[in-house]
Amino acid sequence: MTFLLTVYTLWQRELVRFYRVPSRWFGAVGTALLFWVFLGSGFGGADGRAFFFPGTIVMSMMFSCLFATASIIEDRQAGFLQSVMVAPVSRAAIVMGKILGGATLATLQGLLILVFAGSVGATFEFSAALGLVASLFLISFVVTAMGFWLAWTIDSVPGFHAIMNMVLLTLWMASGAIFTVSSTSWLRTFMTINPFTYGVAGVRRGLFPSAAMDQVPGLSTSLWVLLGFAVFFYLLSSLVVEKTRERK
Amino acid sequence: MAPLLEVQNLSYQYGSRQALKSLTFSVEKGEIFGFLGPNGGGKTTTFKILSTLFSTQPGQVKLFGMDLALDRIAIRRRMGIVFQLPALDKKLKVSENLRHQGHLYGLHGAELDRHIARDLERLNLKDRAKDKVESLSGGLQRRVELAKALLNDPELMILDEPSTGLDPAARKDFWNHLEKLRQAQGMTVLVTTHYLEEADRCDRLLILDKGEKVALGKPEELKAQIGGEVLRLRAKDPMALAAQLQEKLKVRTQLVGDLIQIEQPKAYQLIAPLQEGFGDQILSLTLGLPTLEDVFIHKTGRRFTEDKE
Repeated sequence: MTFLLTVYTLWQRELVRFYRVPSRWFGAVGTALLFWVFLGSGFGGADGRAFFFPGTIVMSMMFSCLFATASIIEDRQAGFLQSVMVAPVSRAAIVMGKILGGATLATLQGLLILVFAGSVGATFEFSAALGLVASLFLISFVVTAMGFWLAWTIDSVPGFHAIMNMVLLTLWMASGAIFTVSSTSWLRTFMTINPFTYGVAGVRRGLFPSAAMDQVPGLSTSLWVLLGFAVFFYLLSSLVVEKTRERK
Repeated sequence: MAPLLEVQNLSYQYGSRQALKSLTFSVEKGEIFGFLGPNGGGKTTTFKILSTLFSTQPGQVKLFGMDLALDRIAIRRRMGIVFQLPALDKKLKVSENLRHQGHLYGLHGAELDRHIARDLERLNLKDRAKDKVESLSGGLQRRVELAKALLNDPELMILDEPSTGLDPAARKDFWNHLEKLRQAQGMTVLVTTHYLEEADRCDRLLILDKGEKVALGKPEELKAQIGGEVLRLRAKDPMALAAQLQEKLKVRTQLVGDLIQIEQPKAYQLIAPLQEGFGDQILSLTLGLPTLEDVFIHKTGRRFTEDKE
């Protein structure tokens, strides 16, 4: 009961905070949309935009997760999280509430961009659409949990941004967002173990259920792999919070 | 009855720096117990251990008869904590901050509403409940912190330099509220401070310096240890004058920064001989009752403010 109440209250706080700072929202969606229009048009008009659409959604969500987790660092040293850390609640509940909050926001943002799905020739099919939403949520969860873990480990905001940019952009570039298959074997291996590959694949499959995509992982495979990554990073974050108590 | 808090041989080390050295003290139920000391004295480390943020290293801490190292969650349930740095979400309203806090302590629904209404009332915050925290003055924000820490009816309230950054009026207001609550609730209060006037309002004080206990007792008792009054001289050449005074007037002097300090009963009797014999070397002379800072100087030979980090 306390576990759920804690998760709920921290989740709700994330949503309200986001709602109160519209510039955050505007920035994340705006960046992704501009990126999509410019890159997609540059690479080949309407076809290009359709190809880049899934990657664009994932990138937009990635920024959202980044902002949601960067705040942890300051919040913990000089903010609300200080009192959360001395409350009689489990660390696992705190981590879950915070990650769920960030993941929910990112998912909502991803869904918002889906307004444009019709313009890129996406087709609606019920089970694929469900899979699409699940993919959006799971990849958001994975990125937020990863961000949580890094934010807790790194205690400087600029340091966190530097590392997260490096990690996220690398993972995104090798996710099938720009190219679906590579002829270099180490890159192929990297793509196989990259959670973003499954996030982008899930979104691609969900948007274009009837398109032929031999090189892209299937929808249910993607969802299972994402779930695995989500559990892994959640446990990792919980462990790090439990272990690193001391900080001057 | 066993004390509410018992600390035995508590030490704490950050890497190679010893922040606390074998601290032993206890606090009775209902006391306002202060930790006074300069920055780097060990106050904040003590706060972090007692508030369960840091784990205990060598030494034992018993709170409510439970071991702090083992019964963390049960202990947390019975404490309220006010941090030195703001722990409010500034983008949220006052009432929203309190609501989240209540949820973390297992309060919800009508019961939580009652607690929130009660605390807003007690701290005169009722008409600000719907305001965002960022729109409140520093003094009011501190009061919200207090309301937040009170929400779970704590038996023990721990505050870390709670009035840092407040103007004297707001600081006084904060303490008036704290004392009122202590009386109404029979709450025990632990507070760290480097303000002497705050320390004076505590029932008992532990003076810390470089992680060690310098003195422990009631403020009046500590000041009485000095005996008599304190004379402070500002001189052109303090070292030379101090030596001369010791030789010719047979008084014990202490050099504190660039001041010469003489503590003794009836110190005022020295004023005339000082003036007559050494008037040309003395720039200024003040006579006062001992303060807690004098206690600190007496024990450490240093001023309070010298070794700011």
